[in-house]
Amino acid sequence: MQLHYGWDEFKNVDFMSFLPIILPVIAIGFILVLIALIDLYRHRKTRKNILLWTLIIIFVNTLGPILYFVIGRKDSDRI
Amino acid sequence: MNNFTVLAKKEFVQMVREFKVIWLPLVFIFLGLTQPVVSYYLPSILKALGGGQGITIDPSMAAQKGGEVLASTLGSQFDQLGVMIIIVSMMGVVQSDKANGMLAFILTRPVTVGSYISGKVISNYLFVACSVVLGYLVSYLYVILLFTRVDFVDLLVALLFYLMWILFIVSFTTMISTIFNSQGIIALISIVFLLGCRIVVGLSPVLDNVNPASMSKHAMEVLILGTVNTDVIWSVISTIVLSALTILVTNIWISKKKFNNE
Amino acid sequence: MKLEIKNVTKKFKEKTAVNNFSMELQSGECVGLIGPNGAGKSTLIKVIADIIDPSMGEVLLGGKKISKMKREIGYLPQYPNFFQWMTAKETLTFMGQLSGIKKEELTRSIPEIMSKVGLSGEENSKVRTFSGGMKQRLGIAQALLHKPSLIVMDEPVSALDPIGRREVLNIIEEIKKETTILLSTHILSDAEEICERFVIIKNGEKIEDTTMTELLNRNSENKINVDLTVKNQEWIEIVKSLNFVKGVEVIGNKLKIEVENIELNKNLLLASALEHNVDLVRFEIDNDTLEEIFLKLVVEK
Ligand SMILES: Nc1ncnc2c1ncn2[C@@H]1O[C@H](COP(=O)(O)OP(=O)(O)O)[C@@H](O)[C@H]1O
Ligand SMILES: [Mg+2]
Repeated sequence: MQLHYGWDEFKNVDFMSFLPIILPVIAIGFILVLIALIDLYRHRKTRKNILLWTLIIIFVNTLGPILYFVIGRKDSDRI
Repeated sequence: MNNFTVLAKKEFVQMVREFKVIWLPLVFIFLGLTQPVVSYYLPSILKALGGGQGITIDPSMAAQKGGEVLASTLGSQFDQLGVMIIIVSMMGVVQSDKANGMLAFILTRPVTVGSYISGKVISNYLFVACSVVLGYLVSYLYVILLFTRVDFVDLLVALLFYLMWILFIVSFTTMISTIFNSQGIIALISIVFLLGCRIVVGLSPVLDNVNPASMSKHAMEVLILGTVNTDVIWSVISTIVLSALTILVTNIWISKKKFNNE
Repeated sequence: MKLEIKNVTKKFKEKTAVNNFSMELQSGECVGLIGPNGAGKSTLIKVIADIIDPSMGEVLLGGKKISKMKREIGYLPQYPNFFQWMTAKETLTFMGQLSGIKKEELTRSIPEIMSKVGLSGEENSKVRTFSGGMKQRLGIAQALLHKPSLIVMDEPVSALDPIGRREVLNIIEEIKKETTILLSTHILSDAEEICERFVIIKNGEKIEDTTMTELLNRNSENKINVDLTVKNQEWIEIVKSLNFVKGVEVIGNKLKIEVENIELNKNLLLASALEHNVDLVRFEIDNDTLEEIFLKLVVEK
């Protein structure tokens, strides 16, 4: 199996040298998700589509939290 | 405190309350990280994946110079997703004040239209510029870590050029936000126009001289070649003039109270 | 300061919202601007607050163009809206600073004004959480904060429930003592309660500018209503024979008596009733209620 073969080879890349460089990228994505979720929770009473936004924030990589901040936060400010 | 500082301060407080002060810089840091990391690992990933099949790796890709990587951070990351995110984060800058009546309300106080607009444009520009600078610096750190060094003067000159393009983005979006009433339309027009400006860069030297987006090209050239194209002076002038023009149009539009006569 | 509205006309494309409207407001006066929905009240008030420019005419405050006198005006919009993310105190600080008040002065005057409009204790609540009545009161606080010489309010009580309405009316009653007030409403009884003078606007035109007493007198027709417990034919005959009585209308045990001169004759009539031991339930001058007069004016003209 080609894919399997490729993945095996991929593992041979030295992960310890990989980690310090990749970590900040993951960390920033994580912080964004966290802040978006905290904000969503704090304003859960005035927001629409809470569940939908939770899913978007968690599963749409990086762009999810941004979408939430830009569009999702606006719901309640319209009044 | 005069009205300008009151209004600008309000913008900053609002950014803090809406978490914009956290997420926009983070987004730019993320974009800044992406390019060097991807450029660095792409060859080894490709090699790892395609190793057994003998795909040849372009050697120029494997050994990019630091300046080139930093340039593509500007050209591929900031100028695409970055610009879109700036626009989307600013589409309501005047529109939401119009929609909920706050613009009219603020202007019933002894506030000049000029201080209202300058409060908006300057505060938003400072903030967006800071986010861009942060992302750029992080990208720079990664570049010198993973690739070659970039000359410090080139780094600053390129940044300065790029921030002029950002100025036009901010003032243009503010103008569109003042003229139109739907956030969707505002985002669409701004994105189409500004990305359009960016795409046509390089097609004709004459057009480039009046195109603010060419400031981004000049910034990239400084990073890649280490020299400044003398044509940049025309781009600088036209960027300043066009930014001033958009602000003027915004001012006239609000002064004529068009926003109340739909 | 005197407010002069001179031949103000405001056209929206085809629609003329305000048509050649003129009016003067003396310093210290309280005037109600009354008209049905769509009459042009909000448009006129927005012209006065310098939110929209009139197509023709001008508005002067103390002899100067209104756009130069913004500091002297307090404006309460029909639907007051503030930044949702600000607290009440921040809102007032923001609006106050824009009006040119010093920060030190604001720290002193904001608690004062908050208690005046009944919002004490809500200083640090977000506007987002405010009810309509609370926003209205915050709007009033904001309009009063810089001690303007003219306060313009667009339907300050129309959107409120009876309790909120009562409270806001009391606040206005209070501030009326200190400043010139122009307020609009489509409910006559609100204006009746606060203002002595009122101006009626319909289809953008001024159709009446009068005081309450004048309006009431103008519409009285020298008739007196007398209600009795039982029909007293004897007394009715006596009344008919009185020389100042011009006619008597009898409906059950209610009498409608037309006299020559209300002022002079009403007491004579009452004396006659007492003299003959008539069992009175009600004795009043036959007036149209303000509501009736208003309807007549608005529908007829
Ligand atoms: N921005 C506008 N564009 C077009 N027509 C308007 C606008 N604002 C008000 N009008 C019209 O002007 C008339 C007067 O409106 P308004 O002043 O709001 O009335 P009121 O406050 O007395 O209810 C209405 O017929 C309304 O449709
Ligand atoms: Mg109205």
